[in-house]
Amino acid sequence: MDVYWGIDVGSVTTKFAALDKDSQLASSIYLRTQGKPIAMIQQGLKKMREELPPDIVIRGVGATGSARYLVGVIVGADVIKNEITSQVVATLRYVPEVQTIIEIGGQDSKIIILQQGIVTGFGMNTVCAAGTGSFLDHQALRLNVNIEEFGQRALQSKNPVRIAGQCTVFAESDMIHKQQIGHSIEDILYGLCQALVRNYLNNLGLGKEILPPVVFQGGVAFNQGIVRALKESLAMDVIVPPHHEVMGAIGAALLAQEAEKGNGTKFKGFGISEADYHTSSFECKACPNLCEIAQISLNGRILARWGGRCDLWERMPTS
Amino acid sequence: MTAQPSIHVTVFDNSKGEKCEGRCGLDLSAPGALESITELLNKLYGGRVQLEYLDLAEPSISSAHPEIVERVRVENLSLPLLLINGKLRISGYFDIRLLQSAIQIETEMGRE
Repeated sequence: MDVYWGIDVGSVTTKFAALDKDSQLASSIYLRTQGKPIAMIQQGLKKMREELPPDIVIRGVGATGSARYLVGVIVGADVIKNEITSQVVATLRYVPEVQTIIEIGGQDSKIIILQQGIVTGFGMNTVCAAGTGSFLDHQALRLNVNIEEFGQRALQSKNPVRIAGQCTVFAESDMIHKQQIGHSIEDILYGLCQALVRNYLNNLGLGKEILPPVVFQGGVAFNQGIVRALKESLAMDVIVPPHHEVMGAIGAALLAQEAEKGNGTKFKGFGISEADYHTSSFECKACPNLCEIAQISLNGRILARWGGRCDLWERMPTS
Repeated sequence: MTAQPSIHVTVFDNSKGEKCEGRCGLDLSAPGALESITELLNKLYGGRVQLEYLDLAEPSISSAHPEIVERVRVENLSLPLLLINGKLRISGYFDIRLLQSAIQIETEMGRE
């Protein structure tokens, strides 16, 4: 069985997608990155190996996400692409007529505007967490609600409360106040969904014409409360495609498939999942931030560097 | 070998405007911040990226960019605005990671 792999490593989640030669999804994995991208890449590879038939032949690997260069070095990627290109390629496969892509991930959100399959505009989230999944994670933890139950409970709301959710700090104090005056958890949860959608549309949607079909993807699209709040705010239908949580990885796999011209793959093999990577660190003195940079080595050879507020060291050759 | 196109980054902000209490993101109006980020971008991109900071609190700047002032007012956009090659990419606070991400995406999309 020929397989094309897509790997999308973000700051909050790590996604894997395996496509067969007909570009059909054969397997996918969704993991929390937990600040350990290398360990998650290893874990994902191991799980993929277990889930796929024993006779698979890897024909190509695509990497995307904020840690795409790191993935490229560790796994041996044939194609390294930004998240917007990867998301667009995958979305067009499922909804060819899409005009607006709303992507809300753990720490990154995006809006992509298309006309006849061509990207005509895009916008990115601000540094404020209030329009991303981590906002929900944080508030769910505060309310002692399992994030997996968040959406279903939010849908039970009868009188949603308005949460001052323009910032996680304000949202938290407002939520405490709303609890104290006796609002139900369900009403507060749906109020949070509306706050996230309001923040997203205020930060990313302004100045852009949001036209249907609108496709909503990313891990946050699991939350039915957010889906409903988006539909209400936009006053239009919102499509959540199948495999919405791994669309970036699917796009990367499709790009790897497109790039393959019988030249073979750079994939380093499944042995990576068992490799004993050594991590050391040093302080970068390139600017006053003095970031701690992690250095990944294998058998005494430096393979990659990552971490810090910019990607100066990620793009620096190691040899 | 083709030379890589240059990237022009413009940041519009209002040093006298309301600031989020969270103090998240870069504040290029802070003393030394613009010089420090310019130096870092030079290290990262070897002079291929030009950073321009325009403070709308300065009457000469706001009168030179009426379209931006109008857009902020009409569309109720949050400052700062980050424009890459004249296109608005982020409205609101951003940090160096997001700035780099916007530059990289613009560069890669330009090549496609």
